[in-house]
Amino acid sequence: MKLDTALELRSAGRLEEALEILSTASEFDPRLASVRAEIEFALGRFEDAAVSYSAVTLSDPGNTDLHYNLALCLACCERWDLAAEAFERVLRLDAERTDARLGLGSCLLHLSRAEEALVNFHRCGAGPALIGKAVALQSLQRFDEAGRLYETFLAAVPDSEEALSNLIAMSIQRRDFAQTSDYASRLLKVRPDSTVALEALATAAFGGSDHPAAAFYCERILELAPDNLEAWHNFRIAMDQCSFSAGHLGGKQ
Amino acid sequence: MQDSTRRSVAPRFGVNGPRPGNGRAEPSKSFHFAVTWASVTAHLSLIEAADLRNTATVESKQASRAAAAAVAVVPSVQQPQVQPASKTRWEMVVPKMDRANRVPQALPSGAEYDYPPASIPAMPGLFATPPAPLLTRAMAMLGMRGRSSNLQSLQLNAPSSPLPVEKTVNEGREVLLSKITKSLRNRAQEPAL
Repeated sequence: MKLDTALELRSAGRLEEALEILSTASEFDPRLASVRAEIEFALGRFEDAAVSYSAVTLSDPGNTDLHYNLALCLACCERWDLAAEAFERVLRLDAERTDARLGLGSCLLHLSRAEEALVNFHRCGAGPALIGKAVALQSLQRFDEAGRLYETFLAAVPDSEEALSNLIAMSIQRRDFAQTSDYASRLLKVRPDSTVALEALATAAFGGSDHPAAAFYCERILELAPDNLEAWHNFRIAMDQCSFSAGHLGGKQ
Repeated sequence: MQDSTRRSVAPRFGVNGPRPGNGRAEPSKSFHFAVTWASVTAHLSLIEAADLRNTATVESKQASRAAAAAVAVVPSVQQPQVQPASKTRWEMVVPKMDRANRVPQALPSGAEYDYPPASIPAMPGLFATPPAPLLTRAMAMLGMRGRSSNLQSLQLNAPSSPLPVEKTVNEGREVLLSKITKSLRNRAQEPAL
């Protein structure tokens, strides 16, 4: 009865009430616990959901979906180590689960285990795994390979802000400001209010000692993000440089 | 997953040009460029239990045998639709135990058979399910172990218990289950009569 009531409440979007009904259960029931975990997840209570799923997985240890859900909850709690273990359990039960492998690769990247992440992403084929592979390669300083993968991904998803942002980060790591400007311009076309793109352009402008441009981009950043302390600081620096240059030129004249 | 996949990439450069006035350099502050991989897992979502997506009659596939037995036992306690004891012939069916022929011989006689005892508490929450024969079988088996032990276990569930009803229900169920399990095990270890 509780289960039926809870499911009805959940269907009606009354998640808190459904959870309240389930919390009155006096004994453990895997079905109740599963529904409870799903509702907790939907409410963003990932730790609670993880606890609930932990209990359910104990009652049905061979159920890959339960382990997978537990792993997702742990990942949402940013418990990358535990999430990785849970994803590994899923893969031990079913090595063909691409979703679990993607999750595992993601966790491994968080754990700075880029080599292992790369191995997992390689087994996922293309699609979202391409970004994972590229990030892993970028972390391993294999910039050329990473760049090719990002471009492959962009060929399929031209408006991928994430790929362009990562390419910007990589170009700055490599101090290749021409590429930084190129990627930032592409990103601005996709998202005209991208502060990442403007910061990249400002960075490239500073790198090329183009202080008027740097001031211009910093000013635009501040219009979008008035709390950006770096932008304030750099705007002042750029303006100072502009004044200095102007004074210097005036002195020469 | 949350979009927390960020790793900062701090560019190593600054503006080292002369500053107006004193001529000293003041470096610019690096912006933080994050490497992210949120799109790798963006499409991953919770897998809801298929048998729980709809309301209505969903039977658990994961419930343990003990839990199932408990549900089956308790309804039978209130509505023990047993035949008159003197005419009853019990048959216990236990998986992997070939003792079906011995159970009737061990039943108490009609005069001694006192079932159901009055001390079993009412458990209204579980009465909706139809009575199952498991309790009668279990009770028969308990009876083979002697009435005293049977009564002893049942008295633990006396309605006069100060515990809340729900707790009493659970404890009663647990005691019954443990007794049944114990009896089954003991019975299995007994030499054949």
